[in-house]
Amino acid sequence: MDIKISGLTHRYKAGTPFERLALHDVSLSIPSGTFLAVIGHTGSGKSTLIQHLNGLLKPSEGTIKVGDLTIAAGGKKKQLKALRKRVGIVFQYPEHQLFDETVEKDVMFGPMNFGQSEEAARAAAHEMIKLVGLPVEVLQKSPFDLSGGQMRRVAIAGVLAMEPDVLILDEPTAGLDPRGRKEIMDLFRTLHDQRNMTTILVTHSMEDAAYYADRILVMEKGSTYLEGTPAEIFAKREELQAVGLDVPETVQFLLRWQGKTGKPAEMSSFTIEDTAKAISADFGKGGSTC
Amino acid sequence: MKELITVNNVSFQYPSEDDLTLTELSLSVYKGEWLAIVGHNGSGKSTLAKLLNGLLLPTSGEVKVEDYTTANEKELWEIRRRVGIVFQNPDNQFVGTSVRDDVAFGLENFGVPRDEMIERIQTSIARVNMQDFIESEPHHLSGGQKQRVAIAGIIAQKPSIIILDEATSMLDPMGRKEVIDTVKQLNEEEGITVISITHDLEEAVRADRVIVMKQGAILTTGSPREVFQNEALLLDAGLDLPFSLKLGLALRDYGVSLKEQHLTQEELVDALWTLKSAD
Amino acid sequence: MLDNVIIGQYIPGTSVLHKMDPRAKLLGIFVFIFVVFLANNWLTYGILGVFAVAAILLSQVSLRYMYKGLKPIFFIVIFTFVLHILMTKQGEVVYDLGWLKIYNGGVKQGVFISLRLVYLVLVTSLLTLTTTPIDITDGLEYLLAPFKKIKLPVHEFALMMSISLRFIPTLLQETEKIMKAQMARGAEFTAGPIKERVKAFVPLLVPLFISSFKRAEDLALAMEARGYRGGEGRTRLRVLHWRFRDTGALLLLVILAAVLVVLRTHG
Repeated sequence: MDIKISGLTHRYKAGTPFERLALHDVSLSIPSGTFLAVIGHTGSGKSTLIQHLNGLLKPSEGTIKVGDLTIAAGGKKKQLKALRKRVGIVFQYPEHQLFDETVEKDVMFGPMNFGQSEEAARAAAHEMIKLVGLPVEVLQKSPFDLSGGQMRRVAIAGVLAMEPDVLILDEPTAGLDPRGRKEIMDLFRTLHDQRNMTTILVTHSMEDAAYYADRILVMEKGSTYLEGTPAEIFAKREELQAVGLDVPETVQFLLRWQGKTGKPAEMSSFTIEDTAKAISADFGKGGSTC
Repeated sequence: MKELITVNNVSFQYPSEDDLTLTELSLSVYKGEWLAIVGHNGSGKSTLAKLLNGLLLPTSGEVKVEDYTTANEKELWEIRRRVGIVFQNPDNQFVGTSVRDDVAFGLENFGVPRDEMIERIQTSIARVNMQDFIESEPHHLSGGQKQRVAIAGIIAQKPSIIILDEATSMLDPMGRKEVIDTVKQLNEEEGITVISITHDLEEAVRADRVIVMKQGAILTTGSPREVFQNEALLLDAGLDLPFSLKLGLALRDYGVSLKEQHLTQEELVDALWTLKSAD
Repeated sequence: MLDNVIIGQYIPGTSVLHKMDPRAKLLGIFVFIFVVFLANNWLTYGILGVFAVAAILLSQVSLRYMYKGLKPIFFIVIFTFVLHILMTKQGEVVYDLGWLKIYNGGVKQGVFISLRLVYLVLVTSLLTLTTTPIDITDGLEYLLAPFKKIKLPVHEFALMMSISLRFIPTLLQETEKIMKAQMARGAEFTAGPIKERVKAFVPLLVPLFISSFKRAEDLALAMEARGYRGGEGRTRLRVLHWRFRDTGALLLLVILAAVLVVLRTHG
């Protein structure tokens, strides 16, 4: 589902002495099927931006188009619900939103709010619980008897069960250990590929943005600062450092290595594997020059 | 080196659990060191932190801080003044309605006279660089700032040890750096001993000593160089490897004959360059 | 709607009223409540009015703001007024509708009771408008200190209040966050019949309760780690300063009371 944001401006507490400009004239187009990473500091406007995409915040100026739905300043309520059905959000620490007696009921909450029948919702719950890597036995347990990591997966299943076309992830791995982080991120990338979704990932991790996203948006002070493919964005180290960000570790390392060898290295892939391969090429046994 | 904390053959079991969370664990913490304790969730590392200042008492064995023991209830307060803990959630440890009131909380508990309290609050808030926020209310502060206030509250008590119990895990990269830099400074300039319980292996790499825990026991201990040499053991403990180690392993897979593990990017680049020059 | 309620809000400032000791203000309010009931004729109500307006002027809180704050209680005031007009049958008939007779005694009584209400709201608002909640808590703790002797947990009560004050903004933020998360899952908090609406709050309330319990547990642990063990042997950073002006203000109230006693209609 194509997303098009035009001239989006948002003021918090408009018309009061506490008015604050959170977004300023943001225009952006996200073609269907894109995996977009949004990076930037706390307070750069990332959260405000994504909350507009499913109508939790309304624009002060400008429009948001998701598929054939258009949300403008002063839009109607009915539209918001239609929008929320298409766009699912996994918030930071999503396990804090669990509330029902059983995991199954909790996962069914979203689909049923959007008018699914009970059987359909139950079927979705079973499918999604397996998808997020939990055994079906947990469905009948109380979500509050699970471990933190399992609760996070249940909450994610609750959003996936709504079968959104667009999935927004607001730092979905915050607070997890390295292994849990990788598992969850791999899950989202697989889902994205298999279900032909549009995915928007808000993250502080340059590594995640580099590995998982097709495109990256850098936000700064409520405006778009840079936008492009990971290769384009991470070729601009100075611009990133100017706003307190940096390139991923693999790029940092390649740049160091370039500093020694004096010849520019190719930077199109950001995995450790590919970095090792690129460097090994500089060695005799690696195959090429020297 | 002077031994500050001695954990002697300690086992611990939560009343609600069937198994021991810690089993016959012994360790020493030395004055002035930065000790990182790493381990997978459920390895018992946070339980250990709570035993070190008597928030939990061992089922068997003994925990001694300087010359005090947590077994003696009268000495607990001496121990808690000396061992401060910064917890994970920045919001849930902020007691006061303003920065000043929060830093005062511990001092009030320990009965510090008011004049001295005012002086100590000033210096410790300046020490963590929060002097511009002294009147601020907690909901106007970032996570990193709240954690720095928690640190100020501890150093105002003139402690000998600060424990960071996953204190940076809920912060963004900027907040994480603020907190680590602040504690690093206290460690280097004032010789405060730091015990950092963390998932962040990049931080553990910079510690003086690392303890790896698994299932309530110590799997290994040593300098980061020694500990991170043994990647099989780290993987066994459910830990991810620091970046330079992972890259080093991958390079070997591609036939680059590195002899040992390198902990930082600088070291790895230098080693590669030496290797290439000899090529 | 709730934005208009001014009781409980604090407006920072440097007026004499802001600088007064919270104990003096609390005692003052206490005395004033009794004084208000002394007035029973036009003159005494007039004097009280002058006093209330003078207090507002001293506080430097704008009259417009105070007026806005009174709006939500206008309904109660008018209701009281009408009730008195209908119920009181004293004095001469000033208006005769046949089935309804309005007596001048009723009008008078209605005006008086309404004024009494307005005065009380105005003056108690002034307390919260010029005193931070934490100062009010401190003031209460000091004033109630004598009750510690009869084993009343005064320190614990004050600590509880100050922790509640500390966590109100945090809980509001949390509420907003959870509400948004559930709305993103299609929950609606405004539409539908009342029974449905109550049910709709379950997904909000359960997570809020759970997180509050978790917070309470964490907080208790953090407090213990920082050496908290009850009020005994504790020193305090916050101290209150009783100054000449505080004694003066209370004396003024006593004089006001005396004047009212003399000028009120007796018998």
